[in-house]
Amino acid sequence: MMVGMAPASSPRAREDAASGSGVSGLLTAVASGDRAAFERLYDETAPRVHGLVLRVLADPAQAEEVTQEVFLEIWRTAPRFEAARGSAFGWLLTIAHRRAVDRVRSSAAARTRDVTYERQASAGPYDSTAETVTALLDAEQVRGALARLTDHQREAVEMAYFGGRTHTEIAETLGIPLGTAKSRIRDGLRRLRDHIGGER
Amino acid sequence: MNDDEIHELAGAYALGAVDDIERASFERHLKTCAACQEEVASYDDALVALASTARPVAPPPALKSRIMDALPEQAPAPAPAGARPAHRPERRTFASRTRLLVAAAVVALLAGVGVGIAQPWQQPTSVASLSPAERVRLAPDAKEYQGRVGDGFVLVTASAAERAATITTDRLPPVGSDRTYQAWFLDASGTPRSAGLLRDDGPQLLTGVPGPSLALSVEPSGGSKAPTTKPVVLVALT
Ligand SMILES: [Zn+2]
Repeated sequence: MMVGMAPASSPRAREDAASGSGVSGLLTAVASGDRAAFERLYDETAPRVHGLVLRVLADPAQAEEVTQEVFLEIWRTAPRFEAARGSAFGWLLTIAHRRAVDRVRSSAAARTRDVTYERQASAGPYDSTAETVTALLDAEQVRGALARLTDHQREAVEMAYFGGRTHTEIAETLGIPLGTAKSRIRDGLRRLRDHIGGER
Repeated sequence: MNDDEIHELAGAYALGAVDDIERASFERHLKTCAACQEEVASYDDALVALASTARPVAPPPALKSRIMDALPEQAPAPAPAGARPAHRPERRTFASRTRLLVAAAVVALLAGVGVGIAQPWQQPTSVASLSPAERVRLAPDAKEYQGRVGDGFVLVTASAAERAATITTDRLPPVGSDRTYQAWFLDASGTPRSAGLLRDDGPQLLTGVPGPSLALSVEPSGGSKAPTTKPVVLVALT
């Protein structure tokens, strides 16, 4: 499995992503059709985009296809990105996540997703973050914020975000009422937000 | 879904944990609800943090060449004036939405979501006594396909040998006395052809030879020549 060979992003990418200006500036150039800027954007963000897609899909071949779709969508939609409305890097990740979840909900991926989730879940709540080198946020900080969630909240948030499950599916999988699933997701996300923001 | 409930979807929406129909209704709501706009935007950093727990993985070098080769020659189209929210990815086209609905229906089927439409038919005494709908449902090659509409379900039974399909519904959202659900068979290119108006919960024989998928849309009573509203559900019949 290729996960084991993952290199961290370059210090340069980390710095740019951390300030947001690098990715954002590149996106602006891409919007005007600058292919060289697109290539640099790819070099700097592809490992993070691909890592996220792979985490959701757990299938290298499909993840490559989706990563390709993501970058082609970035090329097409770069003119719609407005720096004032959020971070460029967040925008890329949103596209990547949306595309990966779309794919995982398609029939081919559906067959393996239970297995995928089992595998991820059995790794324990912290293993998923332990080896991560984060580009945008300090790993310690993210881990600290995640630790503020109850186990139930973290489980629901991770099933939703990495498992591609809807709140209805989560309720059914866990055998809990829909309202409970909804509030675990929302409360978990709020806590994550409050502790990420608060400790910055 | 009433207005109080829909605010509660903000978290699930931000995480992508909504189905296609919920997403569409939430996005409609989002246009006019400042509180939800603010809440969704407030999760941006938390989502990046969550994403950052996925370990970076460099794609194989060949992927970059493939992407560069696939890049269109022309520059990206400029953003239209009064464009859509920039921090959300592009809105789905009808075609991709349709594919997603197909996907959602298949997932629901595979995951056993929404199963529970009973099949309490009994073997009739003679084939001659069967209605056309029963003939389809009892055909040896009959296959069943399910879809969800809000809290309701549709079940389509298709038989290649009979070249026909039936539809059964359960708890479809009411549409009002001047509207009706209309069924459509879509061909491989997505072109719809009317498969008839739903009279009741069925089972009801659909009009015409089944296509690769079936859609339901809400139409003025009496039906339409082509769908005038977005389908509420799409069921792949393959
Ligand atoms: Zn609202």
